[in-house]
Parts: sequence; C-alpha cells; structure tokens
Amino acid sequence: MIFFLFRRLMLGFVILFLVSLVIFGVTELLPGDTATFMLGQRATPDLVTALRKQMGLDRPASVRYIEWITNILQGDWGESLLLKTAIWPLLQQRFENTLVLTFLTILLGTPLGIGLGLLAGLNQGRWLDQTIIVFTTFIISIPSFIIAIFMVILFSAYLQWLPASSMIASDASLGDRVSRLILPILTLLSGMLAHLTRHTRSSLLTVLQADYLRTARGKGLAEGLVIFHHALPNALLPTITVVALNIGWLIGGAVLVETVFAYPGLGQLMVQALSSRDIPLLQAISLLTAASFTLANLAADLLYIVLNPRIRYS
Amino acid sequence: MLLLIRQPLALLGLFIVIGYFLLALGGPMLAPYSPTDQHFADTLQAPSTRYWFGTDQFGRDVFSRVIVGSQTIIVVATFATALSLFIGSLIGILAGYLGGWWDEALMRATDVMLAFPALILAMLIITMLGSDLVYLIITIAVVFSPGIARVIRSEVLSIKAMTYIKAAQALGCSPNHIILRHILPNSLGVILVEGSIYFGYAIFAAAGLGFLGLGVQPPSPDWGLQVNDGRNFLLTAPWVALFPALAISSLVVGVNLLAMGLSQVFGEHFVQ
Repeated sequence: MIFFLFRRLMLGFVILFLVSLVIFGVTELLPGDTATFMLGQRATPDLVTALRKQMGLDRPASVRYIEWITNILQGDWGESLLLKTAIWPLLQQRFENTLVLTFLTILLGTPLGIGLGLLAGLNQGRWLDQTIIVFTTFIISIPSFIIAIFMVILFSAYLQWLPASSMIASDASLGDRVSRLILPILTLLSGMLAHLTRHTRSSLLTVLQADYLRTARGKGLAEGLVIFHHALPNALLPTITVVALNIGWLIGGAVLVETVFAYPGLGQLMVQALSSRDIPLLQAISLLTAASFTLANLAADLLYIVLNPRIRYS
Repeated sequence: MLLLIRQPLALLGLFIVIGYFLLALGGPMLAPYSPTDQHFADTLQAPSTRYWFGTDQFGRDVFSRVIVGSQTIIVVATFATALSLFIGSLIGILAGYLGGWWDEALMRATDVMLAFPALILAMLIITMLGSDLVYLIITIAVVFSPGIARVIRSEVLSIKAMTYIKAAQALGCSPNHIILRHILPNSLGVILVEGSIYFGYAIFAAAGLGFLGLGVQPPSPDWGLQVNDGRNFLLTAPWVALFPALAISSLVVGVNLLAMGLSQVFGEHFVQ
C-alpha cells in the first residue's frame, strides 16, 4: 500500500516535470518568438538580435529551461512582460479568486449532483428519470460560456435581478460581492451538476444489478438498508473521480466563463496574457493550471484507494 | 443505420446535424444579405421582418452571419475530428497491438497531454502557431487525439485477446495484415462512436477559441466571434449574441443525441 502510494506520487511528479517541458517547448520552440512579439511593428532583424541577446534568449533552450524551472522551484516565477511586475503576487491573487469560485461550485454541486443522480437512478425509467436525463443532455450539450451568455440575457437583461459583470470593486459591500458571484457560480454549477448527475445515475444502475444486492435482499434486509448500506457506498466511489476532474476543469476550464463575466480569475489573466503575447506570464499560468489539474487527479486516485477497501495494493 | 431509425431522439439528432451541413453547403446562397455588408443606417436593430435575427453594431444582418458562419464551424469541427481520429487510432492501435515498450512510451505521452485542461493546451498552441483555419484544425486535433488513443487502445487490447487474432498469428500473417484486416475493421464501431462524441467536443473547442478571438479573424462570420461581439450589447441588444449562441447549442445538442444513439447501437456505455 505504502509502496503503491509512493509510486503513484512519483508518477505524478514525473508527469509534472514532463508537463513543464511541454509548456516550455511549445512556447519556446514553435515559430513565435518573444523578442519579435515584444518589438511588434518595429521588429527589424538587428533589433530582434539585440533584444534576444539582452534577454538571454540567444542561449540554448536547455540552459534557459533549467534556469526557468529552478527559479520557479525557488519561488521566483519571473516577471511579466506586459505589466513589468513580478508574476507570483499577481498569480496568487488571481488564483485565490478562481479557487473561491471553484470551491463554492464544488461545495454546492457535489451534494446536489449526487442527490439528483440517485433520484434518477432509483426511479429508473419513470418520468422523473426521463426528465432528468433530457435536461442533463441539453445542459451537457451547451458550452459553459454560452450558458453564461444565456444567464446574463435572462437574469441581467430581461429580469434585471443580478449584475452582468463580476468585476468586484475593492470597497464593495458583502452583499454586492455575493450578488456578483451568483451568476458565474450558477453557470459553472449547471455544467458540473449535469455531469455528476449522469455519472452517479449510471454508477448506481450498475451497482443495483450486482449479486451482493440480490443477496442482501434475499436475506430479507429492508429496502432502505439495502440502498443506503450496500448500494450507495459502492455507487459513490467512482463519483470521487468525477468531482476531482471537475476541480481540475473548474480551475483550468473556467477561462471562458470568467471572460464573459469579467471575473478577475486565473482564466481572465490568461486571456490577457494571450492577447498581449506575454510569454513568461503565459508559461506561469499554464504551469499552475496543469499542476492543479494533476494534483486534483492525484488526490482523487489516492482518496479512491483509501476509501475502497477492496483495493489493497501490496 | 437501420437501428438508428428505431430511436426517435437519435434520428432527431441526425436531422439537426444534416440540416446544419446543408446550411453550411448552401452558405451565402441561402443568406438574404452578404454577411459582411454593413448597413450603417440600421445598427443594432431588433429582430424584424426585414432582419429576422436583428443587426449587430455595424448594421450587419445577424441571420446571414449565422447562416454563413455555419461554414467555419462545420469545416473546422469536421476536419479536426477526422484528423484527431486518424492520429488517435494510429497511436491507440500501435500502443495496443505492439504493447511493451511502445505501449509504455505512447501512454505516458498521452498522460502528459491529458494533464492539461484541453482548452488551456489549445490556447497555448494556437497562440504560438498564429490564428489560421488550418492551424485551428491542427490544434484541436492534437489536443483531442490522446483521449481517443486511450479508448482505441483498450478496444484493441480486448480484440487482441480474441481467438481469431491468435489464429491469424499462428497462420503466420504479418502484423500489417492483422492490423489492417482484423484489428481495424473490428474497432470501427468504437472509432465511429468516439468520432461522434469528439465532433461535439470539436464544436465546443472551435466555438470557444473563436470566442477568444483565436479562430477566424473578423470580419469573416464565426459563431464564437459573434457571441463575443454581442457580449458588449447583452443588456441593450441581446439578439446579437443570442442567435449564434442558440446555433452553437442546437448543433451540439443534435450531435450529442446522434452520438448517444450510435453508442447504443454499438453497445457502448455512454456516460457523458
């Protein structure tokens, strides 16, 4: 068990290392060049060469990669080209904002999604189940940023209940802050809810056909006991993975939703970094999201092992 | 195909998808106005009998732009899906059939790709390549092929264990022959189902990247870009964003209904 945990942890680190190589490789070796981007219209071959030399870009990629990664490991994430400030404080603040959104969505979505999934699964084939299936099929089919657009049109333009923008002033009251968080959370929640409901339902249906449930019923256990003691613990195990995947998705994939609501999170910062070709900032954000994504998956794997008594790796 | 007819929802999905393909084929011929013509006297007009879906901030007809814009998304999604199926199947079959060192190396490579949220990886690649229709297709294909490769690999592993493969090997058939004549034809069902699922994802990706301004460049009509244009007028002129948004949603709903039908026909467990 300990050995397996250690191996899984090591694999996580190896993947993270390779991820950092990919990020560096993609941003450094493909046709686009930082110096050319920075000079823009003024780029002449001489100027580009001079700037490359000044920024140390004329050194071999391997040297620059090692410098980049050792600096990050020591807490130095470099400097943003556009904002001319250190990247880490910027990243930290935006990351916190995105985490707030992620945490609240997971907190609300997990019990709701599992509840709806169980409701559908226990009523398999009836109208309630059918309604939930049709509804989730539609939600899953709509990209999150489109849902965001629909939300704004409905709640901000038509009903005028909630603000369309989630830009939060530093002196905003608590009520104002909360009201600006509702629409982005509702948007992210709907997507997560649909996926989780589907997974919980299908995993419950699989478990309901298991032999040990027939045994439980056969020995005369009450139906409630059969469901809650025998079916649920087994049906809910795979949903851990779905929740973890959602954490990763919310941290990395909320880019578009944050853009629609102008929410000052990591995704919005990435879009800014993209449009201004701020390569160091882009590398930093990509690394941070990929690391969060990998960690969420790792946590899910470990939790799965700890909670599932049937898996005992030696 | 015959089995699909027995599923009304899948059939509905098929009709929606075919409808949008026809719309893309017709393109400018079906549009009442040119999608790029600016009617400055009629900017941000509400939907009317003259402009069915209203006009945008330059007075361009939203209805015509939605019709012609279907071309971009259909072309990008179709070619990206085809290319990612090709790359994904190639990797999946090689890893699954050859096994050993090949399998280990290829699967760790997909691990690394899948450690990124798909959109982040796509944004990173397309920014470096530059915005262009061909690059957009390549980017989406590259981002989606690892996921496809995983599924195809596990399918190949189960086919490989079949007696007829053992028999073919015992008869001395070359690996090429076994892959092309036995493994590939027997994986076609799974490849088709994956294709229909990833076609939906590709539309998501194309619309999302377009929305971020990383797809087709203005003034060419593009649904994602149109939604982004309309973002500034959501409170005053919601139709600018609403109609392309509805177009994206209905197309993906159609694709997903079709994908669910296909996966039932081919006995796949469709969870998403």
